Amino acid sequence: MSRQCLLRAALLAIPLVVPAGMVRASGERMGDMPRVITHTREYCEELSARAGQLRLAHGRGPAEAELLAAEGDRLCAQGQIRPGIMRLRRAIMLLRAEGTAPR
Amino acid sequence: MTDAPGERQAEAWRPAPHRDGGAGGFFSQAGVRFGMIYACLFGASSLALAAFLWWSTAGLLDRQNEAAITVDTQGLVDRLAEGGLPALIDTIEQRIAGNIDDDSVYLLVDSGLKRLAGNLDRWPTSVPADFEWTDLRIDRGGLKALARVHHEELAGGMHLLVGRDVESRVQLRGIVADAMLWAAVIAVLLGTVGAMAVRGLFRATLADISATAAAVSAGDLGRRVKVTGHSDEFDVLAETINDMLDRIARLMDGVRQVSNAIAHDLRTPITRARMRLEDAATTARSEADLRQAIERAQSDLDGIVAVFQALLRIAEIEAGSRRSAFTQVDVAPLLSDLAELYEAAAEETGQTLAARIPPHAMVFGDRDMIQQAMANLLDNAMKFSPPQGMIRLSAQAVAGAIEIVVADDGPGIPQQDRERATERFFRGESARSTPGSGLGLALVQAVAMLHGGVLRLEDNAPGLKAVLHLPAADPAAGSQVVE
Ligand SMILES: Nc1ncnc2c1ncn2[C@@H]1O[C@H](COP(=O)(O)OP(=O)(O)O)[C@@H](O)[C@H]1O
Ligand SMILES: [Mg+2]
Repeated sequence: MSRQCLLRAALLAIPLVVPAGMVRASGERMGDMPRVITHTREYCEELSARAGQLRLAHGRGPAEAELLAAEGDRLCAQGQIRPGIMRLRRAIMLLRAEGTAPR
Repeated sequence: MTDAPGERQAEAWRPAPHRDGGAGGFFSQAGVRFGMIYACLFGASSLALAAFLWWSTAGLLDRQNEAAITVDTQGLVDRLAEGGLPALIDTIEQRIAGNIDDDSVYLLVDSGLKRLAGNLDRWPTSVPADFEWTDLRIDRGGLKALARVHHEELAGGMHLLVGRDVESRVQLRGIVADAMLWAAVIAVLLGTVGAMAVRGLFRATLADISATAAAVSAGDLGRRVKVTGHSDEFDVLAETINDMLDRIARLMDGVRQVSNAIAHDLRTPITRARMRLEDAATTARSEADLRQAIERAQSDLDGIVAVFQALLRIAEIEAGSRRSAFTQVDVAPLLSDLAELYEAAAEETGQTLAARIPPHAMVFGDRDMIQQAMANLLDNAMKFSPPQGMIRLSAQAVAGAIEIVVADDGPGIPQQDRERATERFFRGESARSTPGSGLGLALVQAVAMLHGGVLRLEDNAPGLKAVLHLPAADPAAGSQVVE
């Protein structure tokens, strides 16, 4: 008898708690939302080109930057756009740091 | 993202419907109620705490985010002022290119809301035109994301959106929601355990009291509540109940004794009167005989009436309704009058009455009652002391009271009878041959009690010394009523 009551009390308490976790669950559909357009093969190529420009401007960067850029190109070519873009961005940040760092 | 499990949980945790209606018995118990109140308070305070934590942590993240966005926006506005639109567009593109975390939002549109630069495909339709800050839902690589966005109007009717994803806030919400769920579960568990414990305590402490009350109402007047000796509230309650039961038992005893005594003591005179009348009816030879028999029966019945009157008078005094009529009474003249009256009666039987009365003796009470009580004591003294006996009546002031003493040199009351001598209908062994019904001292006792005083029966060696102790001032004034 007491175990049943305990169970019932626990179940009754849950509706008080759960809505807090799902307040934002509803919303407009994906199609209505503005879309981030930097997840495309074209953007990969744009970033790759930027890295090339930076290399031209400041000379070859650290080995790590070269590695990241090459890996980014490869991932983009394989269709893994997001990881590729992330590595290319890292490479660009490293090359930029090279360009602004005092020699 | 983290919303999806939340939805699934909500599905799985829908409360089960109530099936049995027998829960009322459990929840109507006082101990359980207290436990539940405790659990509710505990749950409410932990929810309040969680809400506070949520708002303070999420608020901090928001403020940090907004500060970063504001700085970012200011940099872009400066770029526009320095280098014009091409510089602004270039800077935006550089920032997007360097956004390793892939969490930023930039959008520059012209006055017709046509996109000029940035990583959003179009101006959001779901937000009002002139907002400054908003939470914006965006589609980031096929996943929903929530971004905090700032809107800046630029020269030439252009609009700039700068924002950051706030997924960490969403995650935080999940953590806090989990914590709140666990807190609620723990609160319910603790509350249930507490309810059990409180209920057990309640049962244990109240069980004996209710068992005793049940036994008493079933007729076992001797049952008493156990006193644990902790001298807590329950002990005080137990003692109060026991005192109440003792008093009820005493009153019941008194009632039983009195009714037994009435039945016993009045049967004799009533039977006697009846026999006299019967006797006269069968054997009387003349009208004079008959008349004599009737007259004797009449006086028997008068005696019975007198006993009833005395009983009623005692009951009236004990009820205490006349206490409101109490005044300051000087008993000295009252005692002098009584002394004079009884001196004359004593002379007839050869007894002597010696009175030593002060000029004044103030008592707070009822004059008639005191007179009646003194008359009863003097009656006894004259009735029980031998011819040539000496009776002393005196009064003196003692601390805050007057003591009136009637002393004789008769047989006195043996030690073992003194306690019972003031009970209704009590008559000593030696009093069997004297007239009386055993109500005299009962009335004196009732008068003494009503005045907040006492009647003491002491050994006069030989004889009896009856001391009536009456407070000089109102015992109720300034303190509680003396019962
Ligand atoms: N002065 C006294 N001397 C001896 N016995 C007394 C005296 N006063 C009272 N008693 C005893 O106390 C009993 C009760 O007295 P009381 O109530 O006045 O009844 P009653 O006078 O009708 O007998 C008497 O029967 C008697 O035995
Ligand atoms: Mg008497």
